[in-house]
Amino acid sequence: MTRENEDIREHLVAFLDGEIQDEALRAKIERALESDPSLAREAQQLETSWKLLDAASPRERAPKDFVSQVVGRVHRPKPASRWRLRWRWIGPVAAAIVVALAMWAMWPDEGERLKTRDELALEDRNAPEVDDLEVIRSLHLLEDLEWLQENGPRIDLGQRLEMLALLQAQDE
Amino acid sequence: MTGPRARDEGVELMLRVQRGDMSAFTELVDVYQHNVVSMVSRLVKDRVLAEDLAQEVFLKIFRARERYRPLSKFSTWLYRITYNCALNAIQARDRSTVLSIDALGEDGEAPARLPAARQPGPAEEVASEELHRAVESILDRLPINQRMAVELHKYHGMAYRDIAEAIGCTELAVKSLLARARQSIKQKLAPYLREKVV
Repeated sequence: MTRENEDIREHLVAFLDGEIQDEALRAKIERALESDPSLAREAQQLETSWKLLDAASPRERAPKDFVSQVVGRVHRPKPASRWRLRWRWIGPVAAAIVVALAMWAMWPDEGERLKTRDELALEDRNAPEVDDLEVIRSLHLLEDLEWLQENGPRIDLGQRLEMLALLQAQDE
Repeated sequence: MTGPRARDEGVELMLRVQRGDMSAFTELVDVYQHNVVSMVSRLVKDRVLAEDLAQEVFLKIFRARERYRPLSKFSTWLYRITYNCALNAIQARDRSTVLSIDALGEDGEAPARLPAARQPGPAEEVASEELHRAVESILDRLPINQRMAVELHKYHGMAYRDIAEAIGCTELAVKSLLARARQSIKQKLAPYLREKVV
């Protein structure tokens, strides 16, 4: 086989398939096939082996109920994709993380943390004793209430409400 | 749309499906079912998987009906979807398959289980079953893109240009794929060729 025909070899299959559009190249291949026996033998073997592929298994056919199965599936809701199944835990986990972060953000700092009952009791002992409502009533209310706030007396909610009611009565 | 494409039965059916005609979809599946099942079977070599994938191909087509534009032959579009479905299934299967090193040949490919060719004799005496197994084995061993190109060209009579569109490559690449595939087939069938030629 000549060097020129070696180059032609790469077009041989396309030539046999009728896929060479370039007329000049097609004519060149035809001439080479006529003049080069080894190239002609190669072309013949390619053709024969291609025909032998007819011996492959007969073509599979769809089962009889194939059409009805496909049409039936069209009307069924699409099942969750594998991706969705694989990541289905992400929603609950994300929600749990958000809740945990929110709780952490709202948690009081060390200085702000809720005082224990013992700590409050200790503060009460150190604060001035203002348990008696009569004492409160005897004070000049507005000034004394400020004094009470500044000096941190410990009075319970009921007492505070009573004091406010008293203030309102005086204002009227 | 003009020319032969206007007479493309698949295109006409698909356009009816696009307009909401379910009977056209049923007809479409009926017309192309055997081609799709056959093609997928050849590619994945698993009948059950092939049927499931073939159904998936038609479901994809149905779901894509609103986006469909008849820019090429319907069969080309259909085979492209078929090829992609099969390719994905093969790649998924390959990922889950652990190949024994011992099962690999020197070139890293699984060894061919070609039946031994008979000693020289009249070509007509070559058992068709033996040749059949040899051909199946050779086709199985082709890389997937070569196998698809052979499938579309040999068994569906498709031109290089349509094959290129179906498998998503250039016409030049198809020319190269088929040239390599046919050289490989010729070499592996050489024992049978000698018998046939003598």
